[in-house]
Amino acid sequence: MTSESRNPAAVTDTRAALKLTNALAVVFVALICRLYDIQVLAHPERLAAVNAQTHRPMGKHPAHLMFEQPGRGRIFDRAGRVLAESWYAHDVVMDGKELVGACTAAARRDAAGRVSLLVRTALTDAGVPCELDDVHRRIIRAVTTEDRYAVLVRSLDPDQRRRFADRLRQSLLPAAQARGKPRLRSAGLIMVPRLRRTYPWGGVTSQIVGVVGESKHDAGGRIAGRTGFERQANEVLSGRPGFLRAERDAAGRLFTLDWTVQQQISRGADVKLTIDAEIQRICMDALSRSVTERKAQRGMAVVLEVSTGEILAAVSYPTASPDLGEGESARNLNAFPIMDLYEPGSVIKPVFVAWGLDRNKLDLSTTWDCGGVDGYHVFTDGSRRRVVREYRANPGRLTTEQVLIKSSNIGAVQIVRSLGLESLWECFDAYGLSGRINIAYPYTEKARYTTQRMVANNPSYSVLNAQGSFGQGYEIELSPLGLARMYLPIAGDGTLPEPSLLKGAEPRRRPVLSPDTVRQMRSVLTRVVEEGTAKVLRGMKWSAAAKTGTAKKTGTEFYNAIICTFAPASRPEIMVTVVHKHVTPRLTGGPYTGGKVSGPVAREIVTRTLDYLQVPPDR
Amino acid sequence: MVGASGVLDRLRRLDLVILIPVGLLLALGLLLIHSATSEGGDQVPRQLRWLVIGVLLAIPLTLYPYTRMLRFAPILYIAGLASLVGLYFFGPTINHAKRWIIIGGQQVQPSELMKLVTVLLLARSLRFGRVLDRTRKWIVPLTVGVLPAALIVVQPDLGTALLFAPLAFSVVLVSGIPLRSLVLLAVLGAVLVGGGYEFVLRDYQKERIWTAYNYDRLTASQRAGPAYQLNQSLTAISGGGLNGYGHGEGEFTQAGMLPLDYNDFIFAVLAEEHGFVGCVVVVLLFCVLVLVVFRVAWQTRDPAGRLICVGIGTLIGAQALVHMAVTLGLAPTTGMTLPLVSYGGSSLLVTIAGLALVQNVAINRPRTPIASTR
Repeated sequence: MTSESRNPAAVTDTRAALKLTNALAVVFVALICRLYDIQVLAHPERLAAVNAQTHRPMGKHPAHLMFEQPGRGRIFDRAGRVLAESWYAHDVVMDGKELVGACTAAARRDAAGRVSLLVRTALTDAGVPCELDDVHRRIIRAVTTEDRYAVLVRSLDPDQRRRFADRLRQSLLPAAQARGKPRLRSAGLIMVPRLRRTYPWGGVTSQIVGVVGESKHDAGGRIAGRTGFERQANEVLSGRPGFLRAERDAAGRLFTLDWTVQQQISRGADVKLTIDAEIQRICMDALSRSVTERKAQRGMAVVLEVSTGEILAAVSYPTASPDLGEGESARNLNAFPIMDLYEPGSVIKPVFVAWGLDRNKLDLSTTWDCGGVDGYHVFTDGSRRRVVREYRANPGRLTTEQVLIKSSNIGAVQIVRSLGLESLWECFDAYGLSGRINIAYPYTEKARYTTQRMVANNPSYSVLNAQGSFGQGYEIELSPLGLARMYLPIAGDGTLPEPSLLKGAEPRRRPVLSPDTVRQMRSVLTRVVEEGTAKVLRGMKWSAAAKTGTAKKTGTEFYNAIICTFAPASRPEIMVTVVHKHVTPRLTGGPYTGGKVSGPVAREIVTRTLDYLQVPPDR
Repeated sequence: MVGASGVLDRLRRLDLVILIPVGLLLALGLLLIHSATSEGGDQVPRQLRWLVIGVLLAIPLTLYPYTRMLRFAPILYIAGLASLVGLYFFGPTINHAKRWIIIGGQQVQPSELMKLVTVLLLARSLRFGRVLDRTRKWIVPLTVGVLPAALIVVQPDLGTALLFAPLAFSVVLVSGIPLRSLVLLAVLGAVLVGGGYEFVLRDYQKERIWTAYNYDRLTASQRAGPAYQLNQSLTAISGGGLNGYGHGEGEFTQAGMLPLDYNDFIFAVLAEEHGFVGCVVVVLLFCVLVLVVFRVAWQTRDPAGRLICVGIGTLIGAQALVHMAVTLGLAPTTGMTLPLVSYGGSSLLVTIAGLALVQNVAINRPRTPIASTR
């Protein structure tokens, strides 16, 4: 008899059974959802955690170290000259434990003495000077103290390394040789590779090319670009380090001794710049003499190719070599022609005039009263006044063309006032002054000028801008590169190409001036050379067009002497801008104007560069 | 006793459907144990030995009428309680716990056997279908469920102890209980759990609970410390992805990164080597197993047999759920094997014995299923 017969109704609750089954099903479905979340959705990010625990990264074996340091890409100039390249130097390191193992202190000292003699002899034969005592002391420390490893000598070049290793193997380890190919490791010696960077052109190109450095805090402790183009293109130049790994167990022991390549080492890409090392050298030579003679704080030169806008040279003096020799300042590794801003002085005047001509607001024959009183003229705007002084007093009225030839400040102010501030801002926008110059360089500075917003906030700017008309009073500031760039439409076909530092980049162009304006302006600037302030450029094999400028630093006795020139004037090939910063006539008793200080440097650069480029004379 | 023809007749009435998920899970278990232990001494032969013993044990448990077995339930229960009490005072301490007794060089876990005995005693005590609508009627099932659980908590083995809750709950639910009483029971259970958390649990157990539900906020040192096992389990599981690394190819578990991967965390091995797909298959196999056990329960006319099947189905389902939930970080880390799959003699024997009882009930069920009488 079954128990059901005693009370059949109580234990047949199928609804309860259904609830139980449903509850079970819900929990199982929840489990599957959780599984999907962590196994499928979170799978990629958790894989890294798996790899980190199950695999051991590379060890400190020299081969591993080499694999970890991909060769950095080379940097070439436009003519294919090497500006920067990498190679592996080797440190000779003593592994004290490998040399002596476990033996008595006396035996250790004895072994250290013998090996230090061997090492010293091999190093001397390899042409690496070293002191026996020094080597001996380091080896003693490696074999007798807890510091197992000691660096005996640093940075052997490949040739020295080969000779050192051969010498040790051939003559100093006869016993090991008798047993087969002797290994330096048996003498406790390890050659640890280290990537080194060489800059054949030193300080001539260091400001543009930049330097690399080693840091434990970034780039995985490998060398990385710190300044200049090395920094800008670090990702491209660095390449990809190789990665070896071996499977390990929970205790960190390797399953096998085979290291498998998880990521193949890949050398960095080579890069070609637009600069020409030879033109850089020409500029540096000319600047170094001039800056020393004029006692200027700094001299800068920028050379652009007119047809493409490419930067052929951008140098400043003083400079510094990449490895910073004695007395050299790291500050001089900065590319000031690109990074720093200066008041342009009268060099800015042709830009405004060209804009006025192009917009039909000016005519070259329009005359302006430039007489003033003893070279002084007072401009007023309501209750505000501004006194403008000529460098050299003019007799009376001058045409627009003569304002540029004689570089009249009073005339320039009147021209700019006739154009109006709105037109000026249009001009700045057309030249792209509100943005940074987009070249492949980590630091470029935006031009500074009186903006619409500043005038809206402070109406006195409209009068103060009188000085901006001739590029003084901090009302407009440009980098030498920015200045040279503003002359490109006049020197070229009226379009403004975006300057470039990276060879092969197709420059973007935007039309700024009409061909007619370009023709007129070239004619005027040629007359500046023939009759005006840039006479220093006369008499070359090539005709030149130029404008000079001198900007006195307000409240100081410093002058910035500037010249912008392009040549040959008939068919411009190069655009040269030279700036001398902080020329102090009180110290030198000599000239301080753009034409007299920067003019000769520009002349030398133009002459030697056009000769080097084999541009046929147009005279 | 039955004669040879009777035995054959009984064997013909075995529920063969149950054997399909059981066979698949056992085979998968052997494969996973082989994969997890092949590096440091394969445990498959030992597991096979336990399997053979289990099958031998299952024969009498299947053939001997369970209604007669119920007579011995109180004696077995008292013996089980005595063994748990004895274990507390005299048991050897292994891994900071007194859970095992050593018989013939083999570790045996009395708490595993106690689960089965509790099912039998609950079935015996509730077989007359007394509706549990009064507090005094609860005393017997409540005592039967709580006493062994309390003794197991102090071993300490919280995971196994907690299994008594769903076991008692499901048996009581199916035996018939008014909603009001059910709510009261739930409140009582919540009070017991709260009090147990506050006064019974040790600090490391509380820490495990905290880390399980705050995994995303754990620091690296916490993941390497109290939450190490959980972290390793989740890493292994998520590494498997959709299809897994393949059998015996699990990078993480093969490297020995997951302790106890052959028993308490075997689901993580499955997840890493067979991926999401393999896990879903196993989850479905357990679903099928529990459902076919429940099917036997609904098909039998005998309330005691029904309660035995419900109890055993719940035990297997709950144990599998807890095991998977622990490996997936949905429940605090606790030592719980995956029935039929994990390495472990006691667990395997008890599961097989439980399934043998289900077959016993299946043999005695009517040839044509009955409809609900309610």
